[in-house]
Amino acid sequence: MSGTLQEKILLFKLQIEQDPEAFAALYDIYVKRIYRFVYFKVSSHEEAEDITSEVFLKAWHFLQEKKEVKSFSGLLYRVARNCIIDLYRRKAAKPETALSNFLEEALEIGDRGQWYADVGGKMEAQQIIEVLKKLKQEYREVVTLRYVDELEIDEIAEIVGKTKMAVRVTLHRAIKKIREILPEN
Amino acid sequence: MRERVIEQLKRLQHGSVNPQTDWEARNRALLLSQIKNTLPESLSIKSTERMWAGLSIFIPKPLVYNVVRPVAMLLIVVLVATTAYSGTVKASYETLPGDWLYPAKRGVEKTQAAVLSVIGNATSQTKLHVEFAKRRAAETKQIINSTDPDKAAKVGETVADLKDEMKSINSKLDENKSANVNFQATVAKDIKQNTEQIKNVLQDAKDNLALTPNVENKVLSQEISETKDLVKDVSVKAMEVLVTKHLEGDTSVSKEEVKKEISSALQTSVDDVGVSKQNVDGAKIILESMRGAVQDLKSEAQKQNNIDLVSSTKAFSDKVSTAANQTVAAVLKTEAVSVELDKKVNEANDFMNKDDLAQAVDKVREANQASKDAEKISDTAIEKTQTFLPIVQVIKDSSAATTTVQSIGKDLPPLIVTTTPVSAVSATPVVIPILLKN
Repeated sequence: MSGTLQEKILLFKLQIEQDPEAFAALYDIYVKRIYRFVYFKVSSHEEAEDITSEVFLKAWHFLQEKKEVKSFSGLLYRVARNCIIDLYRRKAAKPETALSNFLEEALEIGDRGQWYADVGGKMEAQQIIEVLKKLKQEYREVVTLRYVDELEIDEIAEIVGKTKMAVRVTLHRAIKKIREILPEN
Repeated sequence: MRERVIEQLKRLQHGSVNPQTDWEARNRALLLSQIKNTLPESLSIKSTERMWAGLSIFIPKPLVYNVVRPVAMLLIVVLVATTAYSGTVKASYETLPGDWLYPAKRGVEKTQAAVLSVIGNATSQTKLHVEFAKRRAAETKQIINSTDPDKAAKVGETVADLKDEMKSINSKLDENKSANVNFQATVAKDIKQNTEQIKNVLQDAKDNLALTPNVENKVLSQEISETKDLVKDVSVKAMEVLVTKHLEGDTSVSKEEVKKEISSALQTSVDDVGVSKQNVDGAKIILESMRGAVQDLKSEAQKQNNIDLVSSTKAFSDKVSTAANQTVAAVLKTEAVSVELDKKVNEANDFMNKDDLAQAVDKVREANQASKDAEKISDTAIEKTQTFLPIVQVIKDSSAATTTVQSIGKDLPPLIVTTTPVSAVSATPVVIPILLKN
């Protein structure tokens, strides 16, 4: 995330020239990742789509205000996180969004069930989803960012607003917790 | 176990957790249309800002703005300053007072002097003043050789600046003599040699002025003479410092070289006195011949009983006689100076043979004083002669109608009076070519 040369050039074009095409190119690079990041935290594809659109639009406005941006992906994740927090607040009165709900929904609706085969079977996927469901929000976030989105520690630290050491510790504890929860244990 | 968990998590990134492709495309189009509406009509980004932002693609932004940009600015300032400096100096080096780049040249010089006065030592400061003095002398010569209508003012300026430089060098030498400042004997030697050059340039300028005697040039000539005296004094002082340093054990200049410089200084005085003597002799011959011519004119007028002419020629004859007598006295004086100088030179040589350099340099000082005295006598004699030239012209015109006067100069070109001091080598006594029209 700290930026490939391509991302930096696109960001330069975006900041200095406000080139919409550069923005479109960055959208192509990051839309899936942001969508996934959001999708793990909301209850449906619709919410994920709405929030992803909102994230990109907010990022554009942020750049237009000439605020300093170290990394475009970092910006997207931070904006996404804030959008999700806003969503949680709006839903505060409602029962907690169950990760399993949208994951199950995803399994059933999202990819037409194709990814079951990819993860090596429904049982195994369900197991890991169940485990994620049981994790604290803090643990779930770093685990998905690190292993699903495959971000570096420093990138995660930037997104969640913690030090790299704190992210490592959280990640270590999250994995430890997963191992405790998994049925084999 | 841990690896297996991670592997399972990684597999989640594939499949339905990704957005639908058609939504992706629709959302893209929608976003683009939204952001295009928010674009300003025109962007005015400074190219420098664009450059720094562009640089931050390759170098971390804080490094670009906190390190690279300030350093680059500093480099640019230094680069501009140095190129502007060298460019200006190069362009202005040959400029003269009145040229638009001359102030730049002087400005650079003043800056150099100011900088050296803070960070430089006595040696570098003195060398700089010597260099500036040489430039002023060269400028003076150039202006005098030019046909600039405003040359009197300009020469006045350069000569005044030259005087200042010589005073600065003089004070540096004084400081050195009082042992407060230490520079090597080689510096004193350089000063001595450079002052010799400056003196010669000033002499050339003076010669040039004498070719067209007028009030302005007379004043300039006077100025140059004074400056030349100062240059001579500085030269002698440099000689004294050179000897002092040598005696104090400074081996940067050998004894032979010191002796050579002393001999050269003595020879310069001898040459100068020789030139002065020739000039005074020339002036004497001119005035003597003038006296003869006027005498002839007077006799002729008496023969013709032309009362008016007799009275006017008598008055003029008296003046010429007085002037001629004065030049005779001047000749005697310069002869005396010359004799005295020869004596001093002999004494100096004796001292040098005995390796008594301190005494020898005292004789150099005395010889220098003698040459200055002789030059003053010479200047006065030349000036006196020049004052009679217009009167001679009047007499020539008036006598043309009445009489024929045979001057002692025969078959000579039209009235020319050469009083220009000439170099010792090529000097011949000034001839008295007065041709009162046949």
